[in-house]
Amino acid sequence: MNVLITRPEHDTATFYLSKWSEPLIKKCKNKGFRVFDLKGSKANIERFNSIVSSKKPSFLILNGHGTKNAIFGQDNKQLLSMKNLDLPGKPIIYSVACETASGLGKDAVNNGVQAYIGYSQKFIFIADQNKASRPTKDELAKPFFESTNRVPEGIIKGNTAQRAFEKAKSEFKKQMIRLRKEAKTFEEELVLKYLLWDFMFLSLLGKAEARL
Amino acid sequence: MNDFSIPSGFWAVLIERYDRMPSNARVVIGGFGALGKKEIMEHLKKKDEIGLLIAQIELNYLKIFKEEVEMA
Repeated sequence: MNVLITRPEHDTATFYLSKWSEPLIKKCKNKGFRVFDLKGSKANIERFNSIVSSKKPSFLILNGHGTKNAIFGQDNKQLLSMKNLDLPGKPIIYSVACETASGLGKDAVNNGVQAYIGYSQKFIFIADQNKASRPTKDELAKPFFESTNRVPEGIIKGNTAQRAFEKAKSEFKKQMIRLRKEAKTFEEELVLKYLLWDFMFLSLLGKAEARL
Repeated sequence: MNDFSIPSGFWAVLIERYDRMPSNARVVIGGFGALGKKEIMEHLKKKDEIGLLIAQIELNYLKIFKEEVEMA
């Protein structure tokens, strides 16, 4: 089983996404999957197209900035759009990139992608500037990434897209319920409000029963 | 996102609220960067795209909270 992951690292958002993806790579490898890790400058369209066409990954984890119609790689250069949406092997796509589920995700499903899980609005998280060099130690960012990572963790485990999506939604809820009870500081209240936003716009498109 | 209309008095409430934002906190918005208190206050005062997004998120939370209270 081949898995492709893109991890541009050129600003705070992409650096956090990249670091919080490292446990996912480990989980893939533990399952015996072959991981094609397009990190930093490797997250470019030439490498992406080459691996997609030659290795036909079954699961694509796409981190980076996004718009309704495209996902971007290193230095915000376009990685996936309608121009290269003809993906062989009917993969599952999970993307943490703003707004893509409202446009590109639908087009991807219409072009043969089995299931597309991503965000139909801006993906936003709260961060602690003092932890910017160690994103996985950032307690403000942690609830966002622990929640959204439930999607790829579920897919890697062999769950259906629907089940993985529900696990992420449940984790978002769990984090929000905890914060409703425990939030004391301004920044903890911010985490709660922005978690609700991400929770609302996490979307599943395509076949709910799709699995690896 | 256009389902949210922002009441005119709400902007002043937001500016007052975000004035309490600690210096270490950042709101990280894909495509717009990691915004600290100073940047957020500027966007709220300008009522620009980011200011509007923040206002919508805050209003969304209040609406959900109000519904919960009413159902309790």
